[in-house]
Amino acid sequence: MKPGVEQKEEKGLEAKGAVSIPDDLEGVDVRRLMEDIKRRAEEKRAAGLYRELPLDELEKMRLGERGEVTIQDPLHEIIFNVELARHFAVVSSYYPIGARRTPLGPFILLAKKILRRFMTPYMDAVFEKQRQFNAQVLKALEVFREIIERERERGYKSGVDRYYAWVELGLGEDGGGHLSEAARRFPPEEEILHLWCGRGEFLEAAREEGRRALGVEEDPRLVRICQEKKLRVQQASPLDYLEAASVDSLPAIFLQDLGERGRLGDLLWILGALASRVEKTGSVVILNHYPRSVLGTEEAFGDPSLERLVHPQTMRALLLNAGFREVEITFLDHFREEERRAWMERLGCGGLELQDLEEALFAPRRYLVEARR
Amino acid sequence: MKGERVAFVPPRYGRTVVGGAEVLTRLLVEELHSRGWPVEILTTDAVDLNRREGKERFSDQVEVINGVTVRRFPWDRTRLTRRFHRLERRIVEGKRVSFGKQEFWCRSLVCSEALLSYLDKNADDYRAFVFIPYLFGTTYWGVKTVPGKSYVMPCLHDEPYARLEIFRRMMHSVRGIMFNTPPEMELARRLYGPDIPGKVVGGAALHPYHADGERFRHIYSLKGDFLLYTGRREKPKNTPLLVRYFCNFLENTGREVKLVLAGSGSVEIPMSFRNQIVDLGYLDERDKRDAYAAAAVVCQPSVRESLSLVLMEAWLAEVPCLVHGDCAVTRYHVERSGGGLWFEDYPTFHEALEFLLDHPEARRAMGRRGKKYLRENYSWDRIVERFQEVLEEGERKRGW
Repeated sequence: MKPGVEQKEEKGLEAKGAVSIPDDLEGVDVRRLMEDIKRRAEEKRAAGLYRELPLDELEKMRLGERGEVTIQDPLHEIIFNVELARHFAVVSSYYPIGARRTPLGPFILLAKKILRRFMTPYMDAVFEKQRQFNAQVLKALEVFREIIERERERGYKSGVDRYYAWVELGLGEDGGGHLSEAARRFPPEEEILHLWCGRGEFLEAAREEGRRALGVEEDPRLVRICQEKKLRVQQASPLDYLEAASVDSLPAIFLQDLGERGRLGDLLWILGALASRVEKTGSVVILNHYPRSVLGTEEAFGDPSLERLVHPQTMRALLLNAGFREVEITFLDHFREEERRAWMERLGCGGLELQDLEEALFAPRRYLVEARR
Repeated sequence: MKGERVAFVPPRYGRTVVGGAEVLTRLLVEELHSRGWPVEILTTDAVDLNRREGKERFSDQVEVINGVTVRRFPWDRTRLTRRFHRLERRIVEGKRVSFGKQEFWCRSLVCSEALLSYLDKNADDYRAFVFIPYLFGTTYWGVKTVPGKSYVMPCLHDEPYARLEIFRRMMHSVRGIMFNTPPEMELARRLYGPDIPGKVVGGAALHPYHADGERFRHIYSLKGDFLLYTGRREKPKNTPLLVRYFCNFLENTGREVKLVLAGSGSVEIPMSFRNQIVDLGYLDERDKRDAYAAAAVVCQPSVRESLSLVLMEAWLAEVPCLVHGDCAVTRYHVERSGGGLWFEDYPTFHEALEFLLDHPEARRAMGRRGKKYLRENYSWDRIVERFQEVLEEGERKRGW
């Protein structure tokens, strides 16, 4: 085994007992690893760092702290209740009988047995109805579970999400110079927070521009891609992340394609949340597609996860309405000359000279919004 | 010799039947059938071997499942007398029980007089009878009925029942014993002597499968890392121990990690941990495979395993396993393959799980090593070859 590598910087006992893993993971020696684990366990046990309690004590402790526990996911709630109902659904008229070891014991036992024999047919009739009822309730719960699972199954990949569009279909837009341009809008000393960082193109551009940036992404597959690029990324719902941030705490935020996917209601909520969470002197930079550019729009909708475009004037009004003091819009990602020529040839209008039409066709593809508090 | 039927005799068999030995039988039989072996199943009509709930019976006496003929005989549901329970208690406590009483006790285990009578009358029509597993009346009385053509796949665990004299004699009377792993063979030799016939066959192999972990996460709303347990949820499989250790792990670390349980049976989950422990019950094959692909770690806490298909399924999905160190078989697999870690008590469980959760790269490497180990040691070609060797060795002893 190669010399171990400390994986975490730890202090005191933690550092002393840190489990080491070899450089060459394929050649990892689990026996050596287990020796390390046992040594660490022994040291922590000696230091009294483990608390091992029976389940009922743990339960008492936790329920005492939190009171009623609600299940967060409706499907988990139904699954739990189905299992519980299944456990209690078995109703039997049989019951064990016994008698104390007194001289009368055998006679009492006999009397009880006789009584049970006479009672059993009557009890069976009642219990049979109960069993039927339980079975029906259980069946109904199971149908609910099936319905939820079926709906989720159908929902899986039925909508084209960003990962599916960008990675599996390969239809994502490549990062261009406009990302570097956006990164340069932030002061170099500020840490930029990129919500919905996707595959991390902006994080890479920011790194190249000498900016520190942290991505927040909810899709674990996209997070994995960022991690493989050694980018700083946190797996979380950006909406939850924003909601959890305290007022006036975020200095610099970057968002791309804001409002172009998902519910419009979310857009309004996000702008409101940004207006309160961004520091008083902080700024938000938004990079969106510019709907005036006909060819830019065509290119944008090549990404099937995109649902709509938001006009820059709409965005400006929304930002001002949300409480931003100043909103500046810059157009960028202009068509280059060779791109123009290629498009002209593809459109079959090499001699097109109409200025207005050309402007509509070749308007800049993107706009950049800088909103300041 | 080929052309004569080889009959497998498990206590129950069916599409919906779960359980290690039963699944192993189905996998092996279907593989032999696909290779042109004339195989058949002789079994009882039991669906559930639990006596309280075991009222359900298979209605078909003869059924063809995936090309394999299954002949079912009525299960003799003998009344479990007070004498049986007294003997059972003495056996579990490791106290001495005479040979006659052991046989009486064994007569009450799952058996079928009709099956034994069929074996007796039709023995000449079969090349061999493979009984599986050791701890059932079908096996003990079946071997006594046709000892000259009997082979056993014992699926042996280190438990008090395995120490009974009736099973020692049974192991010596058969033509061959087919072990799943070297530790199982070592245990058998330790218990019954080094001269018992047989060798390690390997039990069963699994074909590589495609799985979609994201689909499983999507359907069951599972975010972040989770530990997976699949199989029967019951005390002998150490499921309650896993739940207790996991709850303590959560309490000690405050980590956002879940335990997902899947399989038959039931286990008590504390109310306050309902958001961290998700009990999905029985999953179909596709969901189960997707669950393996989605899991960070698969835990097998049972100490009574003779092969552990769970480990195989997990490694095919390149997921590392956390096993109980007191189980010679699962620990043997993990030590040899490097496909996971083991625990012996709560502190080692805590440290091993924390290590695996903290090191995704090491986890992936372990998963890959597990898969490689399966490819090298548990291929169908090798298993069928060794199966044939045991049969031929037994036949040579018989003077064929």
